[in-house]
Amino acid sequence: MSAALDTVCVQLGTDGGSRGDLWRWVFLAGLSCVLMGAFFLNLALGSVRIPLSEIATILTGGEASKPSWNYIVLAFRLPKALTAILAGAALAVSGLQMQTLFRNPLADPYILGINAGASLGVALVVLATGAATGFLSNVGLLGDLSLIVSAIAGASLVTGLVIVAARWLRHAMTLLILGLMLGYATSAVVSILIYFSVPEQIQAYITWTFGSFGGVTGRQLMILAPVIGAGLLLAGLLTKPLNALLLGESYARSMGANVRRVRFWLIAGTSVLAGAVTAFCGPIAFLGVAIPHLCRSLLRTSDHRVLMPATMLMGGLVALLADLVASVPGSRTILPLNAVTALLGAPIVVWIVLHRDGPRSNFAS
Amino acid sequence: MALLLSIVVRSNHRMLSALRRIVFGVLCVLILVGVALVEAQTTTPLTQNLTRACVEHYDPHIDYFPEKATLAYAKGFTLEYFKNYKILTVTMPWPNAKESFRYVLVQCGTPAPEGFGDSQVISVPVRSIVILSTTHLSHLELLGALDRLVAISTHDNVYSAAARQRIAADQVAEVGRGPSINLETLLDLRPDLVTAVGHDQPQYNSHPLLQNAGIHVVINSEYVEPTLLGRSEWLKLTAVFLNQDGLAQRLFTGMTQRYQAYAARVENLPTAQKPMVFGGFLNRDVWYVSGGDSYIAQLVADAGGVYLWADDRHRASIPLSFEAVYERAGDADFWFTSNQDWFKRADLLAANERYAAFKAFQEQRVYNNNARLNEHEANDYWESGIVEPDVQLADVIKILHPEILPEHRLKYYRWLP
Repeated sequence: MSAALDTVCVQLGTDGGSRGDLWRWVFLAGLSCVLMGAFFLNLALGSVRIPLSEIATILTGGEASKPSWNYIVLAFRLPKALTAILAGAALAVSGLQMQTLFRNPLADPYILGINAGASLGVALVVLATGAATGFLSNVGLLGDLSLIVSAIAGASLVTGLVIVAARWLRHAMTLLILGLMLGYATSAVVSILIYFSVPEQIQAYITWTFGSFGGVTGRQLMILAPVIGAGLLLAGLLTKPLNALLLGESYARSMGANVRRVRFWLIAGTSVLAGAVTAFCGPIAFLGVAIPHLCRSLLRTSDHRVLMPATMLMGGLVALLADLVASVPGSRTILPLNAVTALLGAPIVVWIVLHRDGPRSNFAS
Repeated sequence: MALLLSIVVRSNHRMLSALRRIVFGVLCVLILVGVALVEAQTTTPLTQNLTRACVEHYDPHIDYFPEKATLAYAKGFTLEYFKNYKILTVTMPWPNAKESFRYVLVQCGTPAPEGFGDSQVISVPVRSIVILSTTHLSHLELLGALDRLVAISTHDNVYSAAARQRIAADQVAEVGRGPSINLETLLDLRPDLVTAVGHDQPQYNSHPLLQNAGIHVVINSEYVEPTLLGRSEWLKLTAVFLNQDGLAQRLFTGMTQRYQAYAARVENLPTAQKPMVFGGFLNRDVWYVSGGDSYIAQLVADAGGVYLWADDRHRASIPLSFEAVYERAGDADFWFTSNQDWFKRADLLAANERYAAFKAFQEQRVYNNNARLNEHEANDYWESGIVEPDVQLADVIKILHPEILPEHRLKYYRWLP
């Protein structure tokens, strides 16, 4: 089986050969360097202006001239930057998996309704419980922890349904419709909750839907990081069957792949990745759809053995840059993350995809 | 003899008719005097507003509102008095409002003035009231008009024991507010007046819906005021509808005097003795801090504290990044939060472990405004707190400078152990 899949992979490279391979390795190495650069930029820039020399002192374990700076860099900016890399990578990879599984360029990590499930969980906690509190009473009263727990509960519920369905449904398309319908049903419940809520609660809910990396603390990262690590590892193991799936489920089956088992692991992996990110950072849109397209266009390939690491790196990089812009270095306020990712990212992706006229060749269908 | 007799009879007859004329004349005079007396009685000026009655004989020369209210701190509304009507203009129905609302309050039993076609013309004193915010409940209670309350937005928000009794006795209905207001119940109740809160996002406002349904509705948005005393003065807005202008004036003067007496005790403290104060809470990675022109900023300054965002020029809360707040408030002395669910510092930690990085947290100087919560989770801070600015100030002084008010016991604020 593995030999047959390898042949498929070679066929997928559009301009194969050693020159293309070299370009891909250079690309991946370059991307890693840029990612490191962006990581340090995120540590150095923020609302509070801290001199670069002080940043270096703090990162090498020294005491800054102001004690609050140590806390800001190590306990706030560092977990935020790490969260951005992990979340960006997770969403981009799960987007790639879903686009290939459903052979649909518009698929994203939330296509199975995970986002809707998490939103419902959070809406139930934020909108329904606060109804009894007084006028102008207190928004954000529910701690971040309760938001995380409710988002996980909601996402797990939907994920469970989808995974159970994935075990006995024959066609991936049926799953797609199931996820879509679950999404509609949960957003309907959220609408009803919003309708009966006071403005302050709605504000608290909307703030959650904006997404953010800064809410994740060091201790929460201890949970988030291993979960995403496992999901990314699983994705790495699935690159070969993904390549086979590119040619269609029946073709993959004829190549000897156990399509149903592959589908199950793809869905489980995506659910874990997207579910964890949504629970800790809110529903972060755009990255999941755009990054796979961006990588396919830049690398001119659909080979998941290259696409997978490229998507991870690119996802982390774009998330870091978006977070950097959202924190508006030098100003005391911050912008909603989702608005920044889409506003800045969309034109870039459009330009690259149009420039390279990608989509037609991206899905070898 | 016969002749003599006839003369006597005739003169008698003449005497009788004269007598009759005199009696008639006297009667006429008496009636005239009586009428004149009655007239004179009504033209004597009123000494009090009619708080429970209507005028039976209208006289255009009488001032029907001898007791008047004048405004000292409130910037969001104005009052003008005329003989049988008063004009209330709410100039700040919500923050940064472009429109204002004018209400013509006519003494009942007197004719409405001409030329106010575009305003609501409301007969006062109103006999039944619906309030869509508990901040208005303390007004009614203070003005002795709780018996006129027929409905409220949400029962669960009510703290006042007296109002709770009326709810238990089924005398106060529940009608909701905003887009989910129960219009049918309201139409059925036919209240003389509904008091609603204005909101800068139109979809949350209750007044357009009510006005379209022909229900008199006034906007009472004390929260737009940048000072605690300004907020309390909106008591007068409720009072003018009850003709309790005089009572509200006296009550508010008392609040002002007590507030200023407290403020005077910390006024001359040297800056070095003024602790640094901040507030708010973290929502994801946004920290909402009360603006430097908010009533919280004013309250802290009046209580002899330094509000860390006093240089800011916002009345509402400002969204700040965590970094910006930590940089400025990390080593502040006191933290005032307003979270209904926090009773101890461990509750803060459960919400977000970053709170532990603040000095005020480490040194156990965190205070919350939820000292008076009842079993329905209603917070009296938003109810009687509205009309006790002096007690609120005393609370904050007691927290910042306990030695100045050794006898005072905290009423609205709670120390979080």
